[in-house]
Amino acid sequence: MGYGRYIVVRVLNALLVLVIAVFLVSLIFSSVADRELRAQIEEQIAAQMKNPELLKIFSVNKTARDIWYQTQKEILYKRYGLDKPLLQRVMSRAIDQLKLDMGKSHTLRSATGSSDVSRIILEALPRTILLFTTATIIVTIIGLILGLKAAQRAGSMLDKSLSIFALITYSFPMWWVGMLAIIVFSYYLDLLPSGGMTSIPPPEGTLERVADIIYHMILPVSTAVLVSFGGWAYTARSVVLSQFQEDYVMAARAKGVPERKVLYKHVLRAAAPPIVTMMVFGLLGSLGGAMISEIVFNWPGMGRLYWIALQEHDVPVLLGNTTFSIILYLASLVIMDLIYGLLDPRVKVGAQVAV
Amino acid sequence: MPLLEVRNLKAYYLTSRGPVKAVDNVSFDLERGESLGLAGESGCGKSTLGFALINLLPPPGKIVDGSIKIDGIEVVGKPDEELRREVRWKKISMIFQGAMNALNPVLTIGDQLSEPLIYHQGVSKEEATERVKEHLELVGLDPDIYKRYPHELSGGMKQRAVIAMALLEHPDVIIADEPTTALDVIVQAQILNLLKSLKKKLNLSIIFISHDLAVISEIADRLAIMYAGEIVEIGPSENLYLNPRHPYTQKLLGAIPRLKKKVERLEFIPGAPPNLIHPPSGCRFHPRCPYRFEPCDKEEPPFIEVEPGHYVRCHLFAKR
Amino acid sequence: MRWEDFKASLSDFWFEFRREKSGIVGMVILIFFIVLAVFAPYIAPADASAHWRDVPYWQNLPRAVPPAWTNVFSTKKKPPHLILQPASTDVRQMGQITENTFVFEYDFTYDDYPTDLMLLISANVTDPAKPPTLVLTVTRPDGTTVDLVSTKLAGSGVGEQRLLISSLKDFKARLVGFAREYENPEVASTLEYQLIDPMRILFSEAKEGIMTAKGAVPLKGKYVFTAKVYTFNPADEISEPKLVMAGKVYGLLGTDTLRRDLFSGLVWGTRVSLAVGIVSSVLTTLIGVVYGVASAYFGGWTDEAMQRVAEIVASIPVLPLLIIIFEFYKPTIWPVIILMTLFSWPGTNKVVRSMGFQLKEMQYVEAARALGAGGRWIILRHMMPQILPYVFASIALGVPGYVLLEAGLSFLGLGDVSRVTWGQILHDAQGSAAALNGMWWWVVPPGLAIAMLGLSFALLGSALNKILSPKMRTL
Repeated sequence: MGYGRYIVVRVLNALLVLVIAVFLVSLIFSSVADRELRAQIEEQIAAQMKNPELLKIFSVNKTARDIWYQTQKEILYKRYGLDKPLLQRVMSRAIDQLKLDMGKSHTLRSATGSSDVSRIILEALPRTILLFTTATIIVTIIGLILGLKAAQRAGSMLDKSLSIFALITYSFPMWWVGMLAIIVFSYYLDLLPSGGMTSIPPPEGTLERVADIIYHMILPVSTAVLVSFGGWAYTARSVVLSQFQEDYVMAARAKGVPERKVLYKHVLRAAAPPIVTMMVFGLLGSLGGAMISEIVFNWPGMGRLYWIALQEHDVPVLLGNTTFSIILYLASLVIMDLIYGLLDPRVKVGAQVAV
Repeated sequence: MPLLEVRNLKAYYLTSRGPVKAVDNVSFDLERGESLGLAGESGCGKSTLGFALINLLPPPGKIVDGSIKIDGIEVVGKPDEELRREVRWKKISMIFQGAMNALNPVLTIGDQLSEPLIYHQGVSKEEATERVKEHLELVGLDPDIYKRYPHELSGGMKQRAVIAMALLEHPDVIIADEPTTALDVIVQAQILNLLKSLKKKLNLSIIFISHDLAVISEIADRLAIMYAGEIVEIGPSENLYLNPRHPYTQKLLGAIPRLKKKVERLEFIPGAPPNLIHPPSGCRFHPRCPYRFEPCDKEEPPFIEVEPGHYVRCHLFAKR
Repeated sequence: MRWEDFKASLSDFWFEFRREKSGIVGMVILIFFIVLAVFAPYIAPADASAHWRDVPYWQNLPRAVPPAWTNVFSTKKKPPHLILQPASTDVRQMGQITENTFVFEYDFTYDDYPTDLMLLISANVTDPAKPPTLVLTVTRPDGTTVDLVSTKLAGSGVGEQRLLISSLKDFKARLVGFAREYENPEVASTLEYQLIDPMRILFSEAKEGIMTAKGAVPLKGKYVFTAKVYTFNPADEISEPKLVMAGKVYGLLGTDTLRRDLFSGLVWGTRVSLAVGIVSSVLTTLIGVVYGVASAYFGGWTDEAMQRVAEIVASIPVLPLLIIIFEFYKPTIWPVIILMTLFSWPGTNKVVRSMGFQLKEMQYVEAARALGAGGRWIILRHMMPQILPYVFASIALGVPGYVLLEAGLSFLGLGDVSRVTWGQILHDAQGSAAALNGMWWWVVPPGLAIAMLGLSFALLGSALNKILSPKMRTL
């Protein structure tokens, strides 16, 4: 198949899923929102009709009132696209979403003062990525090292405690652990800021600003790491352990390859693709948890945007945020696929050539 | 002095239910240039014996007693690091079931084959590559294959590569563990022919492990039959094959169809192989043996030489 | 499978299970939660869940106080929640006017002050224009008597009324007036009126410092509250007066800012989490198994197409989609379960399908087919029994994910609002900045419950896996 074609297939697959998911979202939304929109239009017309000038005319001429009502309704229906069939409206809404043409927020403004939904979200997106990527990288490193050590000493104290730790944290809500962390480290110990991305006001100077952001990241990142690394390490351990039982490990040892090389060259290289596959789901699962955790830490990313939009019932922000979340999720998926492809020669080089 | 001298070897799997006596009190010799076939039902301990010989029993397996001398060097009890540096692959190598998983799927053939040269002999990468290419040609492969990954090769090609790997350092002893089992019949024949010609050309000393007596008899000078962790009969191939003495060997040979003899019916061996945690007392085969008589379930039979070089462990042949 | 075989394999299983310590621990935790869920109406008030969002329902409890058992760990004894019955009752008729006198005695022996003072009373009033009047005075241990309040009760209707005396302006004004006689005038004039706690004045020694949090010293001893209720119509009835000393600690798990008893919420929340977790996991696994087996059984193009669909469903991000659906449809618990399962079956499908393919190659399956066995027969008779052990482990291991997902959605303020869930309790905690204010009793228990319930299933599942997977290897 070759790596190039593999990439194309994966990306096309992600795009297909994106289109389906956005279409679903638009469908769900349209079926409910139209009802509300109609009610709003009725209200709007009723409000306009309270105009004393109009009332004067209507009191004389009852049919004029009906005609006026009808034309107003038609104008507004047309303006909001309610005159078209449902499927068409769903389609055009989906296309708007995919073009990132997401309308205006009722309640929120971006830092530059724009109420454009895509602007607001594009401001939050990098912050979510910053937090999530940092946590993921740390978790991956800790998880791999611990997983390897545990697999090497299967059955040891380290291995056993790691398994128990992984089992326990497996069912911890990340955001709840965040709340605990705030109680302990912000309220009682008063060591770390309880939330936000910068101090208020932010310090002067680029270096100080960066340091300030890192200072604010400590608690959310540690929380994500604490909850996730056990599971990752356990996954890595299981995969590495199953590789250790493969014949090629025995063959390598028989060949007189030093044990360190057996581990790092043979086992780790061969374990990498299945580890990536198994971790894709863990990673994407924790993306949801991480976004909810943003709320707890008042981190101004997409998770907190969800919280605000839900509290304010700000529908355009809600829809836009959903579209962006789907894109973020699928982009992570594609990146993992690409890494997988690089690690597995069966993808990189292609299938069997000659028999 | 024989090239390989195995004496009273005991290799057990130390499980929670008690030790599984997979290899119990096994002794035999192998001369230079000789090939010994090791046959028996699955679960009789023949593969364990193979791994014990290169001292790489998968845990919880362990050599608990006995001695293995390769070219006069005792390897039982030698520290692992010394074994790695001095014995493995230099003195003794192994042909794995290559069509299975003996090759790491994410490393190239060349990479995996040159490893022993690089780690043992400190050869440069270029030189190792040259030698690997030579050996690939020796086993009838295109030397360019060294750039390929295992999944790009067919089963037969992988098996050839694994054979080339075993030959790289010209070891004294080669253990071939079921080298043809997973292959289809035509490829099986090709690989056997290759091994035969290599043996002649390079004067190899091979221990050939298989459950398939027909395959073994093609290549082995001498045959050893294992049952329940013990060697029950050992002798020159021809003698043993044409004139099996041990009731188990007779049954085993009866269980394979032959071309030259008219077959009335294929025999099968009633009963199941014994539990190796608590093997039967006396002769381990006695519960399944049609000829068992008074001492069989009490006394362990000794090895009895029935003709020159042909030994049987059976009370039927005791000189009383 | 014959019945005897089934019994034998069940007792076999039990024998092995008993040796898995982690499985036993999981079982014990799970049984604990099941007991909580089943007996919720007996352990906690039976109508607590339905009234969770009904603010007046909870008004008799103290606001945002920690659990009562915290007193054990604290050197400063905090007053518990007390409902005082009248020590003596007296009725006097004065023409049209009736004077009901109720005397309450309160032994104040604590180092901290009650949070609120409430009067509960049943008044049957005939003429709404002439509501009864309440006059409340207190005689403190030091002999001083303070008129606390004089106010009108609600004039209409029958039944229990509740007067939050400590929040009445009159109450505060009179106590501040009382305190000014003792407090250093300079201090008193600089104090911000908002920050003065009348309850503190009521229960502090009458001397300098009485008005400030730092200076006040609790005056321990017997407080006698006299409530006089005057009715202006002989037909009016006053009964069941109770004086509530809202504690600084309450119950097993304390209360939240809406005065709700968190223990009741936790107990009732068990039902939702258990039901959502188990039912979703069973449904998902069943869908996955049926889909996977069918895909493996048919093979070829059907399999290809079915797996493509599964792959697409698997890569749809669940949380954002559920947020949108929940926000717009506001489903109750059963639709919640169905919606959550709708997107999560592909994982099971994948495993089962590969198992199915392995089984299909098994000689006995081929033999059965050669003998002319039909598809349904082969699936039910030959493939299902082999897959079943995996199904049980998979159900158990799937539960924590759904418990977490439901809790996450509830935390966002979505999900079934007609009953209390652990996630909702945490949602309210987040909304009231409970973590920032150190209200651990509000934050810790629901999250711990989520984690423990998940843990019990994770332990059970991994034990099941250990026991059942060697049997898989004999495939």
